[in-house]
Amino acid sequence: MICKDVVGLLSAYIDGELSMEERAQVSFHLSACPNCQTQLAAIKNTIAMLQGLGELEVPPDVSSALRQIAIDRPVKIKLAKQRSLASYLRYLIPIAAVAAIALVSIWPQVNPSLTSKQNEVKSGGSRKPAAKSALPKYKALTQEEDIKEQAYDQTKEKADYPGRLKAGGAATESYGANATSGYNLEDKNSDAGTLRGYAPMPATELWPRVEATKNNYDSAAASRLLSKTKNETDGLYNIKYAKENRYGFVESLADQAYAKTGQSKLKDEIGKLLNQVKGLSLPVYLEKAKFNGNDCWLLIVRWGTGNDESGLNNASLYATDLSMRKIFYQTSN
Amino acid sequence: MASIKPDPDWLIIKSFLAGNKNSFNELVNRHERSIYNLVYRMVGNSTDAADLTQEIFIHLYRKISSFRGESTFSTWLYRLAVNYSKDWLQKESRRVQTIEINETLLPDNGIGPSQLCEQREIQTLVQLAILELPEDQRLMVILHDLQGYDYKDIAGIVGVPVGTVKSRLARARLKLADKLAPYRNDMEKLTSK
Repeated sequence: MICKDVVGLLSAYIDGELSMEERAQVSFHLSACPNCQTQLAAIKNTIAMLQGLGELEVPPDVSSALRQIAIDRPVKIKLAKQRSLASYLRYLIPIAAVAAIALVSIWPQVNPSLTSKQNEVKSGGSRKPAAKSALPKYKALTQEEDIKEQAYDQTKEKADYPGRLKAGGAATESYGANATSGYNLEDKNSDAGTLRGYAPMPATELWPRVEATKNNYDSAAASRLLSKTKNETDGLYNIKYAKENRYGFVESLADQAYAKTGQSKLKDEIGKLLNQVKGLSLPVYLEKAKFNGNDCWLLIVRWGTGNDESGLNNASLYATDLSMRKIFYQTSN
Repeated sequence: MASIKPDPDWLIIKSFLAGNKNSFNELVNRHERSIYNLVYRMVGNSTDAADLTQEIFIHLYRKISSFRGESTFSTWLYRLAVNYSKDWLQKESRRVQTIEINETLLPDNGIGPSQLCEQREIQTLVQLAILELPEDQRLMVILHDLQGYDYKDIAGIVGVPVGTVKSRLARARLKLADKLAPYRNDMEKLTSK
């Protein structure tokens, strides 16, 4: 056996995958060949380097998304690029701290309408959440399954918005409770950047909103809060709006939370929580309170299914610990 | 006739197929880590690994009834993950240019900051070297050296003869040994500390 033959067998030699005869031949050759001994040591060392990579933990948002598959419809949840965000925050935390202090000092003077407009401007910029695709990708589905999926979506859309959708999916009629209070849902001539079929939020509207209270919620009280918030925000937003404005809403909530409670760095945590629980969602309400005697944040998000024009018809409430990393209660309406 | 092996996942699958949806999460508990790691090492970044892992488990949720127990469930699931990874690499014609090493995900070996820094550099180099391998060879290294599957299992997962596994793995290791040769001394120093 020559060196060239032996080198090709060294890998299997290390793994004990050679026949007795091959193994004996390789061993014999190695005993007299320094070059092949060196090569053997190099492969062994390489294997050690490979094994030194260790095993990665599954990111928490991925893990949570996987557990949603059996609970919700099996759709892919849009996840943030955690690495980029982490790096981003690492360098911007000092700047953010200064900005937050400045915000506290001027917060009472901030006009809610200005906040609303700022959100719209930001949404049109480059600071959208980083992710590849907002739409769930189905792989290897049969045509029949695809048809069933589409039928499900259409059925759900019709159930969610009876009489409100035409074939193209655009909103054609008055929508939700606010349709009777001055919202023009047929405004096809609205300015670029505003929603087709949705008017911008009125200047007096205060969503998203943060409260710091001494309320001690239980599940029933949390459900009532969810219902109340849902009623107040019904008809305000659609999926397109959520896609474009979520970053601004998260930022606004974090800023308000800092101003009212002094707790910083919530922007990242709210973002992670949303990625974890709902892809197409908009956080509208955050309250620092207690839940069954424990300090908590109560976060209410509006979310929906369907195309861009579909409304955020659903609402969910999440009670988390103060780090917002542990959800200890959730309910949907 | 293929016999059903004593597969720890089998009872969970039967429970799921009988209507207990919570059983699916038991499968997630058991396999999410290995699937995520496989995919991550194949594609080299956590964003695409996260997407692919979700797609794989969604596919599993929809198609689990097609599992007949002719191989172990983990082999079947791995085959699915391998196909998804290959599809991602081939259909999208994506070539991994950069990789990320997320320090929060690295194992803590109880070493000091400077050594940790060296270790991370070496891990980055190793991951880059893996990504430079042809896909078929990359898969062998990941399945065998990182995930501990033996040749026969890998043959079952990838659908090639054991001899092919042996030769692909040998070529992959030789290439890696060549690529990583400049850093071997650093690695030896690090592991000897």
